[in-house]
Amino acid sequence: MPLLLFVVPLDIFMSKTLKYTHEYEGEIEVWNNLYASKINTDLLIYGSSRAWTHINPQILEDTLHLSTYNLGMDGQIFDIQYLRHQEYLRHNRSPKIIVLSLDIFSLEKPDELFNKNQFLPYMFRNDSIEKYTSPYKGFSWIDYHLPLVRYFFNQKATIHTVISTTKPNKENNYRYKGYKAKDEPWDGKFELAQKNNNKYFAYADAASLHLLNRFVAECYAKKIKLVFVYSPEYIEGQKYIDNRQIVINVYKDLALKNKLLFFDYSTDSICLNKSLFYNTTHLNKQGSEIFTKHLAKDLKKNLN
Amino acid sequence: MLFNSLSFTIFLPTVFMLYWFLYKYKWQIQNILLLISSYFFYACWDWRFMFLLSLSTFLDYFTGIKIYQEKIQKKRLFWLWLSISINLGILGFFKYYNFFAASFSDALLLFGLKANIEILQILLPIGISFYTFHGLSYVIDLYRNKIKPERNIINYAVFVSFFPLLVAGPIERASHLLPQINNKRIFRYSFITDGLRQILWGLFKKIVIADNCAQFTDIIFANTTDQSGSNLLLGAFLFSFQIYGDFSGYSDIAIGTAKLFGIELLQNFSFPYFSRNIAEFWRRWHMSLTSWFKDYVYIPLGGSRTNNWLKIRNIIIIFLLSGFWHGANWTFLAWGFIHALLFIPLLLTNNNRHYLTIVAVNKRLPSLKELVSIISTFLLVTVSWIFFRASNISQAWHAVKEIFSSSLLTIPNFEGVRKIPVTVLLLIIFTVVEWLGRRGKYAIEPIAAIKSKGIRWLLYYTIIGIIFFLGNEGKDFIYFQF
Repeated sequence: MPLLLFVVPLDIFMSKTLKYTHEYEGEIEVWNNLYASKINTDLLIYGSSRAWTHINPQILEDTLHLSTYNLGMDGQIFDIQYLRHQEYLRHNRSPKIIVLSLDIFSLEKPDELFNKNQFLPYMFRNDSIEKYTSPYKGFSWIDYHLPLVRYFFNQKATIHTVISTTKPNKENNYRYKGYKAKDEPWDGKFELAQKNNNKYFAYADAASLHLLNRFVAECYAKKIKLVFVYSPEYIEGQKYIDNRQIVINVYKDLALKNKLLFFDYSTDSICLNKSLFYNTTHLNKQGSEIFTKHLAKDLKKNLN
Repeated sequence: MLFNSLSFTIFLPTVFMLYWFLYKYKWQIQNILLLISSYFFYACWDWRFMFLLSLSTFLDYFTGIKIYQEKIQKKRLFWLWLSISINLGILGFFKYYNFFAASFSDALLLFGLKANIEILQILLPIGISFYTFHGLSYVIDLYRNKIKPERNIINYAVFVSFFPLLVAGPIERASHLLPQINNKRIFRYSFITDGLRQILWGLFKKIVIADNCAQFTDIIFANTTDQSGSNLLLGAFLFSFQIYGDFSGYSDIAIGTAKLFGIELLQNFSFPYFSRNIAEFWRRWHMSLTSWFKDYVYIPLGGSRTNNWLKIRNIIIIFLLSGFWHGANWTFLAWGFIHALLFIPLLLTNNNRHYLTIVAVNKRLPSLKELVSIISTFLLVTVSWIFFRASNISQAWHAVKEIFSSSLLTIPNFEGVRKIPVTVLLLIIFTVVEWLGRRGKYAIEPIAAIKSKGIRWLLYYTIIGIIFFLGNEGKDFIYFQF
């Protein structure tokens, strides 16, 4: 019984503390800003890590003169990005423009919920988070509805809570407006995969494609200008995805059907320059700055 | 249904409440409840194997009565061998058929012959090695006139299938368990709380120690060829703790659960990593299996009361059998053989029965000599675990060679290595608690003797807190595969 009395206060303590963690690639500070209604921008960038490491909001702001924030999520596919979009609209004003960065795996449907601990401080009795994250392996019904249970047998969350208690990230400054340039050297994973001749076959899940269509329609209804972007990938790595062009064509067709702008940089000259990447799918700091300037110019030309 | 699962947390209290509610009526009805619960528990894995369990139960029940009734020695022997052959035949088919088929085929290939022996897709019935050994000990003890047959099929079936010990032991003896099943169990509060305490410690060992270590050993042993010597040595150390936490944790939960029903099971572990030599280790590790092999194989072979050559032969047989019991793989045989090699010198120099009580029994700390003995025994056991954990002999051999190479001097580096300090800290805490509680049957048994209720509960809540917040998500028990 005494343990039960501690459950709710302990849940509140852990959730509050975890909001100041340095972990999870800055996802938590983006959630914090979103739930605290601190974003409220004109232009939003959606996508995976190829959004939050590739597109510098400051460059877009300076060029387009529109307040900008990057809501890209590490390792996430479209339906979890859509969850963030829904939560954004509930707590912030609607943007004028959304730039959706698409990837080869955007419409896939993995079994497990990636980076699930980012949801811990916000998911208790949150219907939206439950709706979009419960289809994946990661949380069960009691995790959303009973206090503290979601922290059980989650050593990582406990350790991060303890670290945050002693060393909190109060400034929330891992990312800048949701963006983080990765000033990293080439990681060599591609050469390893090349040695093992690891090939990848991408696919588009029907439900995810349906959701993307719904999102397009909703943006249209809300008068939000939607722009699709396919950012550069290192040319050598492109060969290892057999059906890459088929997936890109799905995006192209969707954009064409809905008269959306689609900036496809999948064959841009940036793709040829290895020094601008830290792995085959991610641009480094220098690469992301060159790319964002490129994107800003294209946006300016086409949006005006 | 795993002991560390949500379904078991519903199943156990339900059976417990019903069991003690029926206490008012008759202990025989309690036995029927135990039997139904045990079969339900077993069916949760695979209901089809309930029939195999029933077959084994009926076979030993029937042959047991026949052995007892027959007055002619030859006929008694016939019934005994019938039971042994069918039991071992079933075990052999399900557990060893593919191993023998593949090994025979490989052996023929050495002579340039090709055999078309079919490898079958056989699903191993969970707990088969354990309940087969229960049945065998029963019929052998009957043959030796050590016990009388159980006439009530319900009681006998409970002896074989009692759910706490059904899937991974301890391997019980009829002389120990059947009298408890055949008598009224009394609700003793202290016995129940002792059971709960032991379950708590078992859960700690499994969820905090074993499952935390498993997250690293799974990575390291998944591909030993890419690992440095330091990674592999660290992996071997972690596996030593993992298998101890996993199996002794299971045993503690099983023994504690049985106590909730007023039944005491055999002790299965007694702080084996504080052993001063391999002989002592084997008196403290998987004690119910060791004593089974001693009583039913080693002593009939002549034991140690024979000449040196036969002593050596008997030890090798017993350890190879022990290895083979764990699984149909050359790695288990190699593991058994290594232990035989470590045991033989102790036997030949009459040092095998040197340490019969726990180390530093009347002292707080061990002497330097004792500490050196403990550490060296632990290191030897750790190296042998590499063979137990590896997928095949060449993988194990590669790992051992790498450990003794210059790469041992590199800093361990593998996926998730950042999380190692927390696990090491938990292992240190665990070792200290085990050391402090080494005189009891399980490490936290002495908590019961603490007079202050507040301190007792503080300790329980601390353990519960560590389990919930520093434990890892449930993994299967290693010994379920045996």
